[in-house]
Amino acid sequence: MYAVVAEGLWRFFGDNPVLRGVSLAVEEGGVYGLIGPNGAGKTTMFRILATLLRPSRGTAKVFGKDVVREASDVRRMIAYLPEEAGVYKNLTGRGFLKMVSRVYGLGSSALEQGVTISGLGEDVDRRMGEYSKGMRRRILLAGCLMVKPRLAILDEPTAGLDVEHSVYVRKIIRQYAEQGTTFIVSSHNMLEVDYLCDRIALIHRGSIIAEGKPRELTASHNVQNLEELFVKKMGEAP
Amino acid sequence: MPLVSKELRELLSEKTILIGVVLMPLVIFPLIGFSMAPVNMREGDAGPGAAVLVVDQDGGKYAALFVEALRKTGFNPQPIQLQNDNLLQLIENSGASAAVIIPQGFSTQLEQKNKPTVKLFLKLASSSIVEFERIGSMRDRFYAAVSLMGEALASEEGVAVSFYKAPIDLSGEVVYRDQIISETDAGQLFQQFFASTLLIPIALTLVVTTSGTIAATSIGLEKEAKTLEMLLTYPIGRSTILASKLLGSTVVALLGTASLMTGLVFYFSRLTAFAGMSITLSLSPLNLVLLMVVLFFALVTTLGLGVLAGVLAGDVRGSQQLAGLIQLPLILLPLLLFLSGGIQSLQQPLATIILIIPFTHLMLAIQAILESSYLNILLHVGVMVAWTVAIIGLAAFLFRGERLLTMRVKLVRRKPVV
Repeated sequence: MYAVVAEGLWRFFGDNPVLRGVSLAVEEGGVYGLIGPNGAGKTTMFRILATLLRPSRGTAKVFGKDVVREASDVRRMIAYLPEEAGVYKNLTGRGFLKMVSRVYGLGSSALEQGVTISGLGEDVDRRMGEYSKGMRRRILLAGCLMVKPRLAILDEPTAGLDVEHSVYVRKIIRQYAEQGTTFIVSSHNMLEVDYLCDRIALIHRGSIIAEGKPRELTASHNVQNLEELFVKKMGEAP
Repeated sequence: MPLVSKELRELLSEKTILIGVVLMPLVIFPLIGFSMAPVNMREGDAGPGAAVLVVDQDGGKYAALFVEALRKTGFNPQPIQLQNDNLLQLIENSGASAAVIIPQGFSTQLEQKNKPTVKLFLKLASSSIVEFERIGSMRDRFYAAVSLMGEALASEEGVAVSFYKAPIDLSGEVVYRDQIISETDAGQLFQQFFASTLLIPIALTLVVTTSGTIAATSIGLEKEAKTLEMLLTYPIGRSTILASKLLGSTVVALLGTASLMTGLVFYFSRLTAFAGMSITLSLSPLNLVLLMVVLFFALVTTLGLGVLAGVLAGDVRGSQQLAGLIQLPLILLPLLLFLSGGIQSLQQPLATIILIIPFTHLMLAIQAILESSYLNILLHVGVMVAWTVAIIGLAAFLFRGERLLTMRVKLVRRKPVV
C-alpha cells in the first residue's frame, strides 16, 4: 500500500505556481526524502499532505484518503513537524506531551513514551521557553512520534541543530521507521539524506526532476554522491 | 535628543498610532459635537419658553410678581390647581420641565420681611449628562427669577441688602421616573447618577475592549511562536480550536470582569451609605444578572472581533493593533454618544448608523437595565445576540480551511532588513 499518492498537483499563490503538476508515490514504511533548493515547493507539498493547504489542481491521498475531502481522516494518521515549528513557551515539555496525548485520546503510556523519545530526562519538566533549539526540536519530534502516526511528515527535522541533537533526531527517525512508521522528510544535508532515506525525489521549481533510491540515482547519473547529483540536476534543470 | 526624535518618528510612522491616537479624536469628537448640536437645540424645554407648572396657593401680589419674574427669566409659567397631591402626574402629563408650589402666606411673609420657601420640582427625563446640565441650567434660572424678585422688593423701602439678594428660599427636588428625590445634596445625587450611569458603561467598555485583545493575542501568539501549523494538523476540528480559544479568552476576560465588578460593588456600597438618600440606583440582584448577561454577549462579540483580528494579522503585535483598530471606533463611538446625551437625541440618519454598531446596544441595554426597562433590555440583548452569532459565524468561516495560514493584513509596511 502506498502511504502517499500525489497526482498532477498544482498549487498557485496568486499567479505564481509553486507546485507544477507534481506526481509522487511513497510506499508504506521507510523514509522518503523530498530534496530541493529553497523555494522548490517542498514545504508547500508537505502542507498539502498535512491538510493545511488545498491543491489548486490535482489530488493527493494519504493511505488512500483524500487530503481535501477526507482531511479529518488524514489527520488521524499523520504527524507533521513544520520546519520552523515553535513551542508553547509557558508549558513544560511534559505538559506539552500530555496535551498532545489528550488531543489524540491516548493514555499515560503514550505520555511516558513521549518523554522517552524526547530523551530530555529531568529537563522535560522545565518550561519549554527555556529550551535550546535542539531541545525544542526533540520535544516536538517526541510529540509527533508518541502518537504512533502511520505517516510522519518532517520538514527539515535537523535544520539548525548541533551535531549531538542532529544525531539524536536521525537515530529516532530510523528507529521508528524500522518499527513501521512511514516518514517523508526534507533536508538540505545530503549526508543526512544518504543516511536516512530509502528513496528520494529531487524537486526543483515545483516539479519532480528525479526520483529513486539514492544509490541507484547516483549510479545512473554517474556521480559520486548525492551532493554531486543535486548540483548536477539543478544545473540541468530549465 | 536623537533618541526622542527616533521615538517620535517610530511612533508617528505607526498607522495605528497615527490613526487611533492622533487622527481618531480629530474625527470622533467633532462628529460627536456635530451630532450633539441638535440635542442642544432641542434643549428648548429648558431654554426660552420652557413650561413650568405653577401651583399658586397664595394668590397675593408677590406671588404674581414671582410668576412674572419666572416669565422674565424665560419660563412659560402655567398656573394649575393641585388636587389630591397629583403633582407628579400633572408634571408627567403636561410635558412641563418643572413645577413650583408657591405656598399660602407667601406674600404675607415677604411683606413681613421673612423669607418664604417655594417648592421647586425639576423633571429629570433621563440619566444623562445633558439632562443634568439641563436641570442645572434651569435651577440657575429659577435663582435668577428669585434675584429679579429681590430687585423688585429692593425698590420698596426698608429692605435690607441681605434680604433682597435672596428673598425666597427654594426647596429643590428632582422628579425622576415618577419619584421625588430630595435635592438637598445635588452633588451627591449627581455622583450617584454618575457612578451608576457613567462608571458602569466605562468600566464594561474597558473590560470588553481588553477581551478582544486577549482573543487576538491568543491567535497572534500561535502565529508568532509558529505553533499554529502543528495545532491545525491535530485530529481535532477547527471549531474545537476556535471554541477553545474563545473559552480561554472568555475565562481570562471574566476574571478581569470579576475583579472590576468587585471593585465597583465595593464602591457602590460606600457611595450609597455615604449619600444616605431615599432612592439609589445601585443594582438589584435581577439587574445584576441582566448586566452579566449583557456583558457576556458583549464579551463574546468582542472576542469574535478579536478572533477576526487574530486570523487576519500575522503576529501578536499585528493582531493587537488590528483588534484595537476594529474595536476602538465600534466601542468608543457608542460610549461617547451614551455619555453625551443618548441615542434618541441624534438625527435620524446618524442614529440609524449608530444603531447598526453592536456596542450601541450594549450601552442601550445598560441604560435600560439602570432604568429597569425590561422590554428594552430584551430588545437590545436580542440585537446583541444576533450580532454575536453573526460575528462568531464570520470568525468560524475565516478559521476554516487555509485562510488562517494564508490571510495576512499588514498595518505597517515593514522595511526589509538589509
